[in-house]
Amino acid sequence: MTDRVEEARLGLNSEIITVNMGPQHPSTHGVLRIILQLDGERIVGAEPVVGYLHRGIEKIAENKTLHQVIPYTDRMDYLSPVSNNIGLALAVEKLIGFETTEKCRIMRVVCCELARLYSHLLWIATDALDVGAGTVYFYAFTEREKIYDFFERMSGARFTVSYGRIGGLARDWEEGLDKDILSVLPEVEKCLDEIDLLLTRNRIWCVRNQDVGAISAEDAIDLGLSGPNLRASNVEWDIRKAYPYLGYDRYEFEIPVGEHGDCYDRYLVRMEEMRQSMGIIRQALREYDPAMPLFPEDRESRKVFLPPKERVLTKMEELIHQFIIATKGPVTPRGKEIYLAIEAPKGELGFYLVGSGTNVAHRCHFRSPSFVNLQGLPTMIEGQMIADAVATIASLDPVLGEVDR
Amino acid sequence: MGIDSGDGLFAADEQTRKDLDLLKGGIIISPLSKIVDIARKNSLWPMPFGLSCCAIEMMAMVASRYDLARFGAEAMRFTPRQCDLMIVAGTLTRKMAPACKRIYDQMPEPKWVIAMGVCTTTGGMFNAYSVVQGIDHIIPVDVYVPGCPPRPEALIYAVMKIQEQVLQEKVVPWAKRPPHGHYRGRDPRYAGIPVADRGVQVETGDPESRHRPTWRKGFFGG
Amino acid sequence: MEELIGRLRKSNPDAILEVVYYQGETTLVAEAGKAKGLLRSLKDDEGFDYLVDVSSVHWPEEGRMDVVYVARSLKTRDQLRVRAEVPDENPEIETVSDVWRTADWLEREVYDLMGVRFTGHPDLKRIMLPEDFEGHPLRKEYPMEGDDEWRNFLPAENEND
Repeated sequence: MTDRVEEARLGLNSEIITVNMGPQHPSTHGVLRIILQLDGERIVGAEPVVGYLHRGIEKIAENKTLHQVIPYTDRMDYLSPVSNNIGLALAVEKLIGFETTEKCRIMRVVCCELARLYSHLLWIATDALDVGAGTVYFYAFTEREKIYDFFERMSGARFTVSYGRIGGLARDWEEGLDKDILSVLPEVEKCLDEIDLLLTRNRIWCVRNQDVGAISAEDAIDLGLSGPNLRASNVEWDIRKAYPYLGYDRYEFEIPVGEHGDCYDRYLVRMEEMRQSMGIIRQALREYDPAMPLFPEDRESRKVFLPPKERVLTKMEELIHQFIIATKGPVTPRGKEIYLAIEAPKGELGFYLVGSGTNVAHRCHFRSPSFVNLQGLPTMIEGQMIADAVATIASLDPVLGEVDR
Repeated sequence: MGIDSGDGLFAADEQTRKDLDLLKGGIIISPLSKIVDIARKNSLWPMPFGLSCCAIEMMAMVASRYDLARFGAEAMRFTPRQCDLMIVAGTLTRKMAPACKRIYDQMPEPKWVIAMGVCTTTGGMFNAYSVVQGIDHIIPVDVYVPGCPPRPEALIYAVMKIQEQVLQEKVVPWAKRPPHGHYRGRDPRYAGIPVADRGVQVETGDPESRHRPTWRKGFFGG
Repeated sequence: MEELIGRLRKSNPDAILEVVYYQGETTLVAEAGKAKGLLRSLKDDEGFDYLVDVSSVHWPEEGRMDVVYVARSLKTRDQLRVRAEVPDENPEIETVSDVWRTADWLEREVYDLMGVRFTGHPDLKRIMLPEDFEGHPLRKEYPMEGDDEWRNFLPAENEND
């Protein structure tokens, strides 16, 4: 504002210009388009335009059986696909009323936390790259590759794994995978310490991120932000603590909460979340015992969960179940609806399923955290410079696959 | 893939090995087009048109494990005016298609296109109302990489295939570049989206432009 | 939760048509005209300060569309779903974007994909699909692969055809 007063005094004429940022832009994290109204370099108004990646996943999910929807959830938040799969599996299990075994629960917790780790690692890689610190990209990706190796051993694919299944997981873990995960965690911690050393007290990083993109707690709650964005604004809210799922209430972990709600706090919250995730993985793997059964053994579960392959190829009943479950899948109760939220790395990922009486859901709506978080973007960047807008978008961590579904 | 010719020279194909043999004597004899092609293939500047999940594998390809810098192609300039290789990675939707075509047009000749992943090849698993079922309805494609997403090694193999195509171009400054790439042709479903011409930069505003050679006449002569 | 519903019935008479309990969740089926009043009293009187989701379901054989709101109170961790039913010929309902700002884009998405008009919305335009798209894809009668209506544009003037 003082620039305009100054310009008026000097007799200069300036207008508000409209600049289009995106959809193809190096720092928009996908195909996000922002129409900026600029007064010089200062942003006066911003309007994000989304929908450049709308693939109609919700419509497709109304035409596929519940098992067939699992690969589509992979591609929604493609930075942490396993947590989407497991979330959908949990939602369907809630709709049809099904309980999984203890070992399955532990494996799912480990997968979700590994997904959180590698999603935040990619976030720090791209955030630092946007702000200018390019080295962190290579460090973070090296650690990501190690986690990719684990997912490859678990399921065969590097990141769009489709590992979750309704009633459990696709496959059991091989021998020694839990020990390997435990042995890689110190390396990831070392990398996080290095990134900390490079960035946290770095003068340039602090100046570029502190007081940039700040949002107050009331605004954050009113706009429906979730995940680290909400926690950085001094709101203590984590679905893992509020509505515990997958037995998260048994593990001891803390939720990092920021104070100012700016980019620097979001950075600190996510870095601490990564360390807490590693703590959860360690606690979960302490309970893990390879001898426990992954598959539930009672009669009703046999109609829902795919039986193990050795039995399918040798016994008749399992063969019939495999055929029926793979081709038809579980039947959803007509007219019943559930909403299940999980704490995905981006925020609160919600699954709203309405049953139809057949094996195809009547309505499958995904409440994606990035979609609602992006609504807060104009509030965050008004009055800032364009470069700050770039830093803010990076710290919000939108994933356009999820925004547009 | 590499055949050791016995004295430590690692060569990818017959012709290059013959050239490297000549080098041992301190002299290379080669047509100008060959030198230009070799220089061009080892310094491709990709334009990453990352749309969705395949972009993450493209980023992993540039990172340290599957280093793309070995092939000289790590200079990912995000402006189309400076690039020659467009890697379309991710699902192309109808809302995004005019942007894709416009960026393809902005790239100067010679240019190549890699269609990465099944979404760009044929629409992938998304047979929906808003997804373009393959980018070759809109722009001509040189190399298709299947996979959902393809592994970074697969994408590197695609870049190597583009390098082979570059070697076969035999570009000389005064020749016109022939139409390249596979283009499926106009699908009536995408009638509203204007379609790129094969191999020629369209939006230069000069009516003679499609006959203008890629290099200025007299570049080496005058 | 029972007392909550009791208080809501007192402050918004005739708004709640039915209460459904399933798997630990509570759904209030509300009348479309009174849904906004109900949601406003949820926010102002009961402290449900967080709107989680706005979505919609189409039941073509019953000729109705449900607009579903999920609201939550961060302090007491209560979560409540409010379902308003509108007829599917010209579906219209009042916007709640002045109650919670979260509803802004969520309602735009429901309008875009289902065609429900939200009266009083500051900027109701398409969000996921291109501006000139015709039709509302998430309705049950719209085919998954796309509709012919939108395909047959006049072809662009391009001599390289």
